Amino acid sequence: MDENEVTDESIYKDRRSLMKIAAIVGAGAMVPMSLEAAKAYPGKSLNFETNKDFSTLSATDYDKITTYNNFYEFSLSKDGPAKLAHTLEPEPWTIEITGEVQKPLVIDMAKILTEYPLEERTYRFRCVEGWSMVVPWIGFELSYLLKKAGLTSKSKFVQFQTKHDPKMFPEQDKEGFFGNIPFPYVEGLRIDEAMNPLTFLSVGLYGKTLPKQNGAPIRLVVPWKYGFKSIKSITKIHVSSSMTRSTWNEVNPREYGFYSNVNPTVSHPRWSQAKERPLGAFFKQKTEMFNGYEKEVASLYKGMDLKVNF
Amino acid sequence: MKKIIWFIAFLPLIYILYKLSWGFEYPRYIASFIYEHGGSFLGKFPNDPLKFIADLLGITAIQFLIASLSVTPLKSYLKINLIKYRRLLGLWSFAYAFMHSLFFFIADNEGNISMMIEDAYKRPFVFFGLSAFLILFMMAITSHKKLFSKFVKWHKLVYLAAVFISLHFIMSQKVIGLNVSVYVGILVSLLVLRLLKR
Repeated sequence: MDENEVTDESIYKDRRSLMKIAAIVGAGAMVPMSLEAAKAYPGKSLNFETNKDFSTLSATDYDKITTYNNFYEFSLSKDGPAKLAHTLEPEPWTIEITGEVQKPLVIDMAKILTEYPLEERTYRFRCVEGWSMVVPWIGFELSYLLKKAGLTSKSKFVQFQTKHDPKMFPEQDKEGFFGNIPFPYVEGLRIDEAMNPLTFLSVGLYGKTLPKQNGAPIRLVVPWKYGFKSIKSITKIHVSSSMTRSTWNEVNPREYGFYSNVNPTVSHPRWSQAKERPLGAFFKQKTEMFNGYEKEVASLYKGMDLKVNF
Repeated sequence: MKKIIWFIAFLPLIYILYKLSWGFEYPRYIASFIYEHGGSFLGKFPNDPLKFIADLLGITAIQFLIASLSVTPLKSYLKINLIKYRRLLGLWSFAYAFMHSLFFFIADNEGNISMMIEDAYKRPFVFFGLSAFLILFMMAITSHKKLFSKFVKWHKLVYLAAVFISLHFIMSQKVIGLNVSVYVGILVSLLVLRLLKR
C-alpha cells in the first residue's frame, strides 16, 4: 500500500533539486525541466527554499491532497471542490490588513509570489473529522506580514476572511440551503498564536501555486490546530482588541471551540480524537498532542484548561 | 426477480472489492483493466478507505430498508404486489446493517465490547444506530415462516428503527446536506403513509 500513501521520495527530491537549479539560473520557465516533472503537478512554479527543520515527514501523495477537500464554498462533499473550484479566479487578488495595526495595508498577490521569502515546510494536517495528511506547503510566516503592518498594544486577536464573491464561490449564494454554513467564512487566532513561527500563510504546495480546491491563491496553515482553522482563499485580515468570530464555532459552539487545538485527550462530542485515519491508509494511527508540535506551541497554553478551552 | 435482488445486493460489495484492489499488488492489475475499459467513473483507491466502507455499507442498509418499507404502500396505493420479496429486501437491509455495525465495532471500537457500550452511552448517534440494528436483528431472526406469525406485531417496530436510523444519519453529519435530506425525507414519507393507512 506504500505507493498509495506517499509519493516516491526520490522522485520528489529530484524534482525539487531541478527546481533549485531553475531558481539559480533565474529563468524557471526556460530551463528544460524533465517533461515528467513539469507535467506532474499543475500550477505555476515557485521559487522557494526548503526549510530543513520541517522536511523530514513524507508527504501524502498529490492526488489525495487535491481530491479530498473540505471547501463548503463549492460543495459539502470531499471530492466536490476538485471538480467545481474552476470558477475561482486567483488572479488578480489582494489581501487587506486592517484594524489595530500601525499602518493598514493592501498587498498584491503578485508581490507576495515574487518578493516574499518563500519556503517549503512539510506539515502534518489533521482534520477534526478524524482524517489526516502530510502536506509540503510553500509559503511564509504570518508574522512576517503582521510585522509589516506593525502591531500595537491593542493587537490581541486576528481575524481572517475568505473572499466573498458568489460568482467565484457558488455556494456562498445558497446560504442556509440544505444546511450550508454562513458565509463569508471567518476564522481567528489569538495574537501570540498568529505570531508563532509555525503559523504559516501558504501560497503553494508540491512546488507549485496552490490548486484552487486547496484555497488558492493564499490560505492559512496552523499545523497544531484542526484543519478548519486553516482558512482558505483569504482576502481580509483584521487585527482587533477582542476575541474574533469564527464560523464553525458559531455554527455549533458545543462541537467546535475557538482554539480547536489538536488534542487526543479531548473527544469531539460525536467521536474520539485519540486516533486518526491518514489518507489512503487502511489502519488508524495515534493522534499526537498538538498534532506533534507540542514542543513549539505548548507554552502558548500554559495554565489553561484545555478541556474547557477546546 | 429474486435473482435481480441478489445481483443488486452484491453490487456494493463488489464495488468495495474493486476499490480496495487498488491497494494490492496483483489485484490492482484487474482493477486498472476495469478502470481503463470504461470503468474510470468508479475511481481508484479511496482517499479515506475506512470512511468509504462504513458509509457505503450504511447507505446500502438504508436503501434496502426503504425498498422493503415501500412494498406495502406500493400494494395499497398502486396495486403493485411485491409482497413475496419483502422478506428478502428486509434481510438484505439487516445484512448491510450488520456489516456496517461490525465494521464500526472493529475499526472504531477496536473489537472491544465495553468500548462500544461506552460509545453508545456517550454518543446519541451511536445509541440510535445500535438500537436500530438491534430491532433489525430481532426481525431477522424471527423472519422465518414459523416464528413470523408469532412475532408479526413486533415487526411493526421497523418504523421505530426507521426513526432511529434517520436520527443516526442526521446526527452523524456536520451539516445536513442534500443526500441526507433525501433519504430521511423518503423514510419519513413512508412512515406518514403508514400512519395514514391506519
